[in-house]
Amino acid sequence: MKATWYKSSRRVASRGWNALALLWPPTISLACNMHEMRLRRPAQELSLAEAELAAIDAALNSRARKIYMGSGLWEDLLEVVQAVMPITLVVVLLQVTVISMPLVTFLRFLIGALMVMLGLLLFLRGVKTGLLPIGEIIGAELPKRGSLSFILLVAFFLGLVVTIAEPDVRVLAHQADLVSGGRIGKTVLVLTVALGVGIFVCLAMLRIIVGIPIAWLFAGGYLTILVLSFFTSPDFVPISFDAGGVTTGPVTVPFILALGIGTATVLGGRSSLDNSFGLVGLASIGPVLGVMILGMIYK
Amino acid sequence: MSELIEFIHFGEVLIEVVMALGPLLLFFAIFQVFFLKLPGSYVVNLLKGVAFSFLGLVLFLQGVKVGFLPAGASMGEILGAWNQKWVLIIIGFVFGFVATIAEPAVRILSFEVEKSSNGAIRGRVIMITLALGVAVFVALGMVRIIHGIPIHYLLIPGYVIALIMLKFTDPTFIAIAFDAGGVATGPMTVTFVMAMAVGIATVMEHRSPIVDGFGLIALVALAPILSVMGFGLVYSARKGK
Repeated sequence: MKATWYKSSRRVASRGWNALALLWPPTISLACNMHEMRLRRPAQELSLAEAELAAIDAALNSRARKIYMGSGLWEDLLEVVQAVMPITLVVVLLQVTVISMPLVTFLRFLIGALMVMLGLLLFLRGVKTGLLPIGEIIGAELPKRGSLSFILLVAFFLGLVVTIAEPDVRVLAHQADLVSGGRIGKTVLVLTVALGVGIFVCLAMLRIIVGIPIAWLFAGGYLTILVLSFFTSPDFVPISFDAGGVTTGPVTVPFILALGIGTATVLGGRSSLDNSFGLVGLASIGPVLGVMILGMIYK
Repeated sequence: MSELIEFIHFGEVLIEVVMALGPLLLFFAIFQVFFLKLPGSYVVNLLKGVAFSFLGLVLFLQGVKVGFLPAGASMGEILGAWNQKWVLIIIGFVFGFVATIAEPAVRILSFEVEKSSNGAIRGRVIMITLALGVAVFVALGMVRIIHGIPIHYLLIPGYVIALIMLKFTDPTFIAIAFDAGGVATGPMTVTFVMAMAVGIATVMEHRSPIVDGFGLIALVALAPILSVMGFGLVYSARKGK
């Protein structure tokens, strides 16, 4: 069998599975089954048997239904009102008491608040039934493919492509173009940020599989950032920190979060909760380092 | 009043969301064809969800861009001209809190934390901790703009404290804390709070809107790392007793 890297964690993992399966039957038992299946079947055999397929379908569907019904329309509506009302009320309060912004601006704000509320309602419902399950399914599928290099390659490309597509990265590229007086082209910056994300999503996956303590990665990453911030051009310090923030857009976050959770529940080892998170945080170290290094090169 | 019609121009936002969602859908399609082979009805359900989130995000971003951004900038300019500068610190705190609460990715992270921990860590608690952290740091950001403190003076001690806290915090909370740092810098905070900061810096003398306004994002990204790790320390200490 190609995949020997996870064998050492297998023993530890199976103990955790049984405990978790009691708490969260449909998904975890599904994950356990997939975990066991992978061990018994040769890696080349790609298609699932009819019965297995039906079982997965049922489990996934009941899961989606559970999430959907767990937070019904009424609860979602309440959540959205709780989310958007505070900011709206503060602005309205300030407008009537001390600030008098132009009436048109204020009316536009009110219409905007309505759109934001409706948008958030649709978005939250959509993410819970679309993006999150997709991320978790892909995350759970990755380790089933067996080869470590395959997982890392997919993780790298995913980070790279998602970042290139992120609209905020182009805004950042424009900023860098301005600060560097045109010396740093937009393409160079976008590629640097994307490579940074790709490499760190890759590292984050490696961490889940091999079981490197997350504190080491963050400590190492941020220590390097602190040291580099003294050597890079001062104009680049704010831009590089911004670079860490812009790659975490509202589409990327749910997907990357779910990807990590999916992978961690299938092969997480010791405790899947420990390994489920951290992907988004690690992914934002890469671009900071990348842009700082750019700033040193172009100093 | 013709300016109100600007809401109809969805074009730019539409392209942004299509570009962000496109690669993920393509990725899913490749996985579906070669590896997943999920049943058709299930894929249709997933795609329905994606369509919902697409529509929702377009509406949300357009509302923020056309409604919240100009309001934030306008408020910033009015507030920056005031003589009592300390009021800005309070206003920064309040807006830091309410903007984070309205952030879509913050909601998703809280939801996932509660789900993955089987309810052991309440999503609402994570959200409020996160928002309080951002509130304190936006207030600090206002102090910085008023007194012209260089951004290093806040960021470097902040990250040094974070590094020290890493040694004592439970791994789960470390992971959630750094994810929270990425999540807090979403469209609502970045657009609205930054528009306000840039507005304030524009009307105040000797302040550069670019340097002062943009440095705020770095502070917003640092804030939840500290506050969520702090919460993790308290949580572990209570559990230990």
